Amino acid sequence: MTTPAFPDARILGVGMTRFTKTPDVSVEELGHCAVLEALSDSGLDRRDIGAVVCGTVQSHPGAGQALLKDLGMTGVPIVNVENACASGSTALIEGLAWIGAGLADIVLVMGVESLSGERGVVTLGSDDYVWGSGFVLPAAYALLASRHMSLYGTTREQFARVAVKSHRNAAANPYAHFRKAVTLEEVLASPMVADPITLFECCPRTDGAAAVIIGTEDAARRSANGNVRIAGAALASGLRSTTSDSVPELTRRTAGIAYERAGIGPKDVDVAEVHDAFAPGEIFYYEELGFCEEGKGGVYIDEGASEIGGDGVAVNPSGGLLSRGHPFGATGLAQIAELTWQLRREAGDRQVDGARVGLAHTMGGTIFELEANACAVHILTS
Amino acid sequence: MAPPGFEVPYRLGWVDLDDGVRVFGRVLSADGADPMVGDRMALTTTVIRSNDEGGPIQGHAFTTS
Repeated sequence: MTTPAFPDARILGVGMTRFTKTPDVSVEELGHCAVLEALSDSGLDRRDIGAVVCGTVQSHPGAGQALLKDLGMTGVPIVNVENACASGSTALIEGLAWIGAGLADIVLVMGVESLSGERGVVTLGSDDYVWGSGFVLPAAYALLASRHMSLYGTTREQFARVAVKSHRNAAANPYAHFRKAVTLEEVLASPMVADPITLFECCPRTDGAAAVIIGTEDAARRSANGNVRIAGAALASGLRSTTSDSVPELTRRTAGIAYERAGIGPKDVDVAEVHDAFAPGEIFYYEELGFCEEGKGGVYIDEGASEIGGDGVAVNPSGGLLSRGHPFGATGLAQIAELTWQLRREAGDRQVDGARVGLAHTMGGTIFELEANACAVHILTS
Repeated sequence: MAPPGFEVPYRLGWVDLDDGVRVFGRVLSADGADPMVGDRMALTTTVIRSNDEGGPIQGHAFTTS
């Protein structure tokens, strides 16, 4: 079996709204802001866009068309995609496919979500057997966290340090939902959500939109910004599994494919945006993405390796899902926007010095008996 | 923290049966002590949550003996 060539695609422009609670702003308005910012960043005209992919979970069907008609972007092919929390990342890999197939030379990829209208934990369908047992998402991560503690001696303080780092990074990010540093004591003393996960270790319900314009190398020459390349990407769905043990294994498999396509290994990564919907997740993903050995995720955070300026991979300089916020459809593209700014040296006070290789990782969904619905990994180089 | 109809706190876990099957379910403690990984469990039933009318919904659970 031969491996098909990975499409040569560049990032031409990025844009996003500030992630926060804006219950009075429609998803269309959020989307307009992100799309116009990305177009302006790229220096391209809206008529240059050859195709559009829109990722969203809770918005209405036809969200992409509804949003773009008021920007005068009609007639262009528009695909709406849903892959739970990985919808934005999935939209990006779909856009890459359009470029690779020669169906468009410039693709607008966007993601929108408004979650501030939800109350309490975001639940699965009420008829779902798992939800019916009380298996809410923080509980899913709590089970994995307990197992990690039992197997490797990981501590609550190590999980809490992820939230401390995330809030500190977000304080320097004008696009972040939370912009205030917190102490280890405050994280540990915040209300318990699902033992060992406290409130400050859970991502908030956030509204927001993000947009990324990608194009061929030729198109990049016509753009104001075209020096960040998508060197590799992979999307996978979870294997059937009746245990929760192997959820992070999906990340290891997906990242392995993305690394191979990019010809890059985990040791080459300078900066990463990782799916830290709940703080323990970031510890698991240090290991599964290959940034450290299995079981050593707690030590990795203790040593400050994942800090901006640390001696490992700087993880979630934007504040991640925990502090930048997690509007499902927009999250994956906000990760790409952050990495693009990092690789272009435009990340201001949260800049990772010398960043040349960035990795974005998103998980999506929890259909029972599957590891997860989706995992997406993108690798960017400058 | 839980969806409507659940009394908090409650414990969830994966339990390995002797023949190798792993089953998800509510975990109870017979003596108030936290169940630990490796503890021997017994099958029982419990109220999982209440329905829209406030009536109990029963389900399987595992308990320390």
